[in-house]
Amino acid sequence: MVVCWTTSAAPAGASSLFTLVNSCGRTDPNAFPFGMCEALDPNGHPPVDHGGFPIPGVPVQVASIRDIFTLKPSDPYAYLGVGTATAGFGHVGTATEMQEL
Amino acid sequence: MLNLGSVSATAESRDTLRLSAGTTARFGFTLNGPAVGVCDFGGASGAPCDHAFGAATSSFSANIGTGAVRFEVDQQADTRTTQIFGTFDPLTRLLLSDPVSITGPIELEMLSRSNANTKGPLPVPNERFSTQAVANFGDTATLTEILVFDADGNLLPDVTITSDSGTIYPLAPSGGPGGGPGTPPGTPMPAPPALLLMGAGLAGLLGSRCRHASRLPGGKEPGARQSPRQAPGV
Repeated sequence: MVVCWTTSAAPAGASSLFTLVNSCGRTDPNAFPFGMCEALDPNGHPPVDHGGFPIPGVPVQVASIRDIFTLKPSDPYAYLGVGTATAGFGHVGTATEMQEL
Repeated sequence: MLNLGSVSATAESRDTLRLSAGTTARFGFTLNGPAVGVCDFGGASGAPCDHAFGAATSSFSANIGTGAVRFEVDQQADTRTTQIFGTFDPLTRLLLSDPVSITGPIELEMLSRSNANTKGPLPVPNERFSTQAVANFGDTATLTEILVFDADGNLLPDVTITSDSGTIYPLAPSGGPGGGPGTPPGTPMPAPPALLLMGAGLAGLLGSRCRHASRLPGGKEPGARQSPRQAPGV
């Protein structure tokens, strides 16, 4: 037996979940004047995860990223950025780690 | 010019709550975390870890109508600071808001943010550094109880809380803050037809089983005690 139902439609904006994770490494802040990661890092990797779209009836939204890159081949540095975000109704959580090698 | 790495995470939930009674309410959030540190978690891939160039911040905040709570831990290099807005019990890890007036639907916004950064002077060749920063609130901040009071300040034990998301939020036990377990947070609210279907299905199963038992050879009466080995279908 399969039992399912849908919650009643809520007014727009009355309830919502949002998650966002981004990671970036850079040697020149002038290249990123707003302090946010660009949509793609210089290696073409997407360091931003806006989270999946909410699934009706599933009150959780998550986003996560694991981003390893160097700014350019001659850059002596490597960055490892790891982040997760979880949002549910009644609970939220985030975790981040940045290593510079 | 700085050598800079950054990772940030944001989680947010918004909901609208309606309380069937009460004049004021206090919201209690149980905090599992946060943990922040610089070079505290094994260093950068085993390399010597330079504390000077790490920074981490983890925070939880909630806006509840006109009220608010906040818990934030920051670490810059080896200096750590904690800011708390609200009443925090370190034993139960419960962060309790001040009373919020109930004049209509209550907008609830919960927000968690974590940032880990590495930064330092751009080194000359062969003077590079390694560092690590961790900000972890990943074990969540959870709304675990809502205390509703009447105009005289008496705690009301029987208040119905509904929400636009359909989530059942936990009313505080009558013992007061942290007095016992409430309804698990984030519990989806089953719609009445679903409960009726489930109840009808269970009743049907039980009825079928009883009818089957009454037809057993040996003339056993329905409800007669049977050993598990004699039970049908075992």
